[in-house]
Amino acid sequence: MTQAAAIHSPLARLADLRLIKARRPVLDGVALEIFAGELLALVGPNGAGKSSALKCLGGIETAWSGRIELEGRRLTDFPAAERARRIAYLPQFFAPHWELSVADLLDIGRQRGLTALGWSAIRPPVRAAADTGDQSSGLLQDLELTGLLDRQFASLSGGERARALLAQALIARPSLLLADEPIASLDPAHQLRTMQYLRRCLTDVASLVVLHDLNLALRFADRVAVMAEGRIVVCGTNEDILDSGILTRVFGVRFETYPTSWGRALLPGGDDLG
Amino acid sequence: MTRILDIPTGWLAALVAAVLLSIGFAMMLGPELLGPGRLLDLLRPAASDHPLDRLLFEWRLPRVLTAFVVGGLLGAAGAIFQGIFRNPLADPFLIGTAPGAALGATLALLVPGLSLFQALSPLLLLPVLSFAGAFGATLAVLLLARIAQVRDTAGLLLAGVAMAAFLGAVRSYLMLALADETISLQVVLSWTLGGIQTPFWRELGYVALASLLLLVFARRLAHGLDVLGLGDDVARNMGLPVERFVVMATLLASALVALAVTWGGTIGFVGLIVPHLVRWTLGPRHGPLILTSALVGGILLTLLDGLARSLLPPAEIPLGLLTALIGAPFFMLILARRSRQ
Repeated sequence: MTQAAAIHSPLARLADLRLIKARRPVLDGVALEIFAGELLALVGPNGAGKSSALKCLGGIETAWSGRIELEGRRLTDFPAAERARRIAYLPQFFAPHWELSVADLLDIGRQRGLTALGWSAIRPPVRAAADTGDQSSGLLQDLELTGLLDRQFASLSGGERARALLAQALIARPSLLLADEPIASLDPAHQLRTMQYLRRCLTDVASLVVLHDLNLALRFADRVAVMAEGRIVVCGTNEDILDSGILTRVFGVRFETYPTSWGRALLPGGDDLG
Repeated sequence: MTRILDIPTGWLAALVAAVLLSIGFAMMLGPELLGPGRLLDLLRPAASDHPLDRLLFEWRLPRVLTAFVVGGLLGAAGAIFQGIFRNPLADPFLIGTAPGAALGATLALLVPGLSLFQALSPLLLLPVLSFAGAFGATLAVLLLARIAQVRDTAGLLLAGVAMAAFLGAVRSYLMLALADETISLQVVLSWTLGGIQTPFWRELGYVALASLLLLVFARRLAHGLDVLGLGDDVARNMGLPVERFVVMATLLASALVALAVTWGGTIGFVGLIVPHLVRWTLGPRHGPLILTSALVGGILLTLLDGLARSLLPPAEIPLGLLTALIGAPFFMLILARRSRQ
C-alpha cells in the first residue's frame, strides 16, 4: 500500500451495522470509519449502543446485518486468531476469575491470537522479555508497570489497574484498540493520566474509546463520534462537534462552552433542558 | 528461575521425589506392614519365590500404582473443571461429572444384556459407559444452566449439585431394582464408596498409557483456560471460540474422570483439594496447574489408599470415606477464606 493510500483508506470501517436484542434495535445502521493512528472517541447517552458497536467490532457479538471491514477485508474473512491479533478489546468491567499477578495478566495478554489449543509458553514470559529489553519493555516503562509485575491485580489501585489493563490489551501489539469507558471509575487526576498514557501508546495503534466525559473526549481525541439510538449521528473534529450543536439534541441538555488552556470546554446547563 | 514444562525446576524435583517416596511408603502399608529394610529385601530379584514377594508384585504394587494414576487423573480433572466453571469449588463429584460416570458404570455392571456384552470386552464397556455418563452429565449441566440463563459461576455450580443429586438417586434406584442375589450389588456398593481396583499388569499398562495421553492433551487446554478466566467477552476478543472450547475441555476432563471412576469408584474431594493446594503455591496459571495437580493428586491418593488398606486390618476402609473426611473440612476452609476476602 502506498503512503497516500494508507492515509486515505480507513483501518476499519463499519457500514450499516444492525443488531437487535430483546426485540429492540440496539444498532440501527451504524456507519463509522477509523483511521490508523488516530484516537476516535465515541460518546452518546446511555443505551445509545456504544458498547454493542465496540463488541461487534471486537468479534464478541455478531451483528445481524451490515458490514465490518478491517484493512479492506471483511472481518468475517479473518480467522479468529488473526482478528484477535489485530483488534484488542478492553471491557468496561474487568474482573479476572483467578488471583492473577500483573505479570500473569500480561503473559496471558501476550498469547493473544494464539489458537485455543496452542502450547502456552510460545512467547517468552513478560519478565524475561522486560529483562532482555524487547519491544514490550518499552510499553511497561511507558505505563510505569515495571515495578508492579509481582503485585496481585486485585490489590492494585484504580489507576494502576487501568494501566495494567491497557498494557494487557496492547502488549501483543494490535493495530486497533477498543476501550469501553477505560476511565469510568477513576478520580480526575487518574482520568487525566490514563488518557495521557493512552495517547502516548498510540504511536502506531488506532483506538476507538467510549467516553462519558465529553471534555476528556474533546481534549484528547483526534475526532469524536456522537452516537444516539443505535446510529452515529455526527463524526468529526472537536470544532465540528461543538459548532453543530448536536450534543444538546442528543443528550437533551443545553451545554455552555468555556475557553480553557486546551480549547473549549463544556458544562451542562443545570435544569435548563434543551 | 529455570522451569521445566512451566513448573519451577526446584518444585518439579521435589514433586518427583515425593512421588517416589509416597509409592515406596504405600508399598509398606497393607494388612501386613513391612519395614523399609524388609521391603528392600523383597525387592531384590533373588527373593522371587517368597509368597510375600508375589503378594507385593502381583497385588500391592499394581494397586499402589493404580491409586497414583487415579489420583493424578482426579487432580488434573479438578484443575480443568475449575477452569471451565471458573470456580475454585468445582469438583468432578459436585458438578455431576463423576456421578454421571458412576451411573454409566452401574449400568455396565448391572444391566443383564450389557454385562453379557461385557464378557466379550471387559476392558471397554465399563470405561466407555462411564465416559458417556460423565460427558453427558457435565454437558447437561452446562446446557441447562445456559437455558435457565444462569450467568454467575456460583449458579452453574448449584446446577451441577442438583444434577449430581438427581443422578445419584437414579443410580440408587437402579441398584435396588436390578441387583440380584449375586455379587453385583456388593461390587457396585463398594464402588459407590470408592476404592481402588487391583488390575493385572497388562491392564495397568493400558490405563497408564491412556492417562498419559489424556494428560498431554489436557496440558494443551491450559492457554484456553487461562484466557477463559478473563471473562467471556475478553476471551472471545482474544480469539477463543468460547462455546466450542468449553465443550472440548469438558469432553477431555470427562474422559479423565471416567477413567478414574472406572478404576477407583467415586472418590470425592481430591479434584477439589489438590488444585487448590497447587494454586496457593504455584499460582493460577493452568499450564503448571494441570500437571502439578496431577502429580500432587497422585501422591495424595497413593498415601490415602495405603492408609485405607492398613488402618483396620483385615478390612479395608472405603477410600471415598477417607477423602471425604479430609475433604469436607477443607471445603469449609476454602469457603471461609473466600468469604473473608
